Amino acid sequence: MTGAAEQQRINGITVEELSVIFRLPEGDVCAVDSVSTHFPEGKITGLIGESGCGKSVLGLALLGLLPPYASVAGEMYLDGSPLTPETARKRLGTEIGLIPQSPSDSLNPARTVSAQLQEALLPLKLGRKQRMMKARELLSAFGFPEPERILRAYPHELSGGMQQRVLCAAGAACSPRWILADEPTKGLDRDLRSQVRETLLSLREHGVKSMLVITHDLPLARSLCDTMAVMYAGQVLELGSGILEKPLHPYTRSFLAALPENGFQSMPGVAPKAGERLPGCPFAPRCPIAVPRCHQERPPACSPEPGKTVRCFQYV
Amino acid sequence: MKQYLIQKLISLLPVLFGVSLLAFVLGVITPGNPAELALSQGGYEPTPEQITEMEEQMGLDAPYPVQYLRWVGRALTGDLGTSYSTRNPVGEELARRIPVTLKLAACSITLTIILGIALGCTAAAWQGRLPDRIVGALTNTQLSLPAFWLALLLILLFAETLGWLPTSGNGGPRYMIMPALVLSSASTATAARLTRSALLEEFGKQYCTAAMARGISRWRLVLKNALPNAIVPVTAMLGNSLGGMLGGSIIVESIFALPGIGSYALSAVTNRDYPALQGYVLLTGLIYVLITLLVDTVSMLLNPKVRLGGKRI
Repeated sequence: MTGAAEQQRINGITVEELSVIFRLPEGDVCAVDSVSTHFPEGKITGLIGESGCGKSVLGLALLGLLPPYASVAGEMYLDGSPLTPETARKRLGTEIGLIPQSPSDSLNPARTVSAQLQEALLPLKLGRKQRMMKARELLSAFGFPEPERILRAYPHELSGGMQQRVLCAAGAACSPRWILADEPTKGLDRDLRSQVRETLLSLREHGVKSMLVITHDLPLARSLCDTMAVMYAGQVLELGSGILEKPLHPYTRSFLAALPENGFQSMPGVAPKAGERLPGCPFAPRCPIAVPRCHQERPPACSPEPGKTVRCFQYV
Repeated sequence: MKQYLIQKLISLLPVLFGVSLLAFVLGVITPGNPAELALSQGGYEPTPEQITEMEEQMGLDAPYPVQYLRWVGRALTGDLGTSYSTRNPVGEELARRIPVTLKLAACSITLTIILGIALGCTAAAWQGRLPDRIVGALTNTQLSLPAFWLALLLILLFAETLGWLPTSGNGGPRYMIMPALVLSSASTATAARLTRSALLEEFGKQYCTAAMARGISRWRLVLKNALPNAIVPVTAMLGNSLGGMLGGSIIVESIFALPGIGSYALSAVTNRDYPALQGYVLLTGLIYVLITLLVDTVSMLLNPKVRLGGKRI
């Protein structure tokens, strides 16, 4: 490995040949299919793709939080040191924080905000009083003028936007260097979406340097992310900056053309079923420019422009 | 919340009515004329005139609805009739015996709660691993061993061989250990299994993933995060078990010679002592209704959404 590549591997999250297979009674389902990619330090990376393309599974694999019936192959590194489910657990909260999807389901309905926020502060090993104070500070920092009342409240007493901010506060409680935000705007209305964007940006004031934002909300990705990874059927097809402005992969192009503001052109065909593994490029059956080779071989990672990686034979 | 409880209470009244009707019908449909039975104790054969006189005296010539209302009226004042076999008032007999059953039920439900939830948590925390499999085997055994067999095995071991515990009778706490173990065995297993499956269901929920992402320990996940939510279905099951225990376990009370209401019911059945049986049915029915109310109240208190109402900050 060259020096530059080694350096790149050290700073940030690197994934090598990562596969996640769910062993289900109905058969194996491959949610993440031999993904090799890199999320650079100090940047906000957007992991975009349709629902069910495996982006959330990839995120949970990084945190070591997949259910026991998931089998993980391949390697993951954070700043050069391996991330296994065991080592990942030690980093949770302190080095990598999670902002989970669907705020109303992500707070424990039977516990107060105070209990859940203080739990998030446990890795700091503070005394009870200091922890309480820190919880209050966090809530004020995330836009709650009256933290006392929020601390005593149960999740169902909060609005969706408030729940989201509480979860952001909990995710950033121990000032992790990385934050993984899983579908932060899923199910929220437009006003709340822009609020979430502001909240995520404000995370940088809490010691968070780098972020991985898993989303299918392209406006959010466009305004928030420095660089992007496009996932389709368990694979990362395109990676780099300026992807939405200048898409290189035929999938990314079709994906953007299908957006309402770009004319709602629907993509022909259907996405591969969960668990279906094609020998070639997963997008080949729907691709307008596919050649026979696309159906037989996996395209390699190409770099037609500096800072961009795309898996398509047209750039080989 | 008060309104909810009042609603519950009102909805339980028809159940109580049904139970009392059932107990009354039990007395009506039983073979034999109660007047004749009452007179013919001790080998005496009453004349038809005596029987008619007795029937009038007992109010048996009145239509059934009138008889029912009279019976309910007496039952409300605690008069459940006179036992055929002992000639004692049934109400007094039950009142004398219920403390024994209460003590046994209290010990058994405590064991069930502590052991059942602890076993369920252990199994769920180590799902698919050795502790889970041990708990699975143990609860399987508990569920498949009949109570009388387990009772005999325990007596053989702890009373006959080791001599640690008394075989039977009613006395200090030592007399309660084996009966409570036997009575709680099956419900402990059910509670453990239900706790385990409820916990596993909670683990799959998003809030557990979010909690794990805070780097918490396995025990903190189980006890502090999942259990407060998983306990709700377990409470309902525990309530049902408590109802059964308070009804008095006929088998356990008979084997360990405990003078509770279960053994009273058994002797009532063997002696065809219908007033005693009627009293027993009415009492256990009332206990079940009260337990249902208790369970509803507890489940409501456990759910902050119901406890605090749906208000927003």
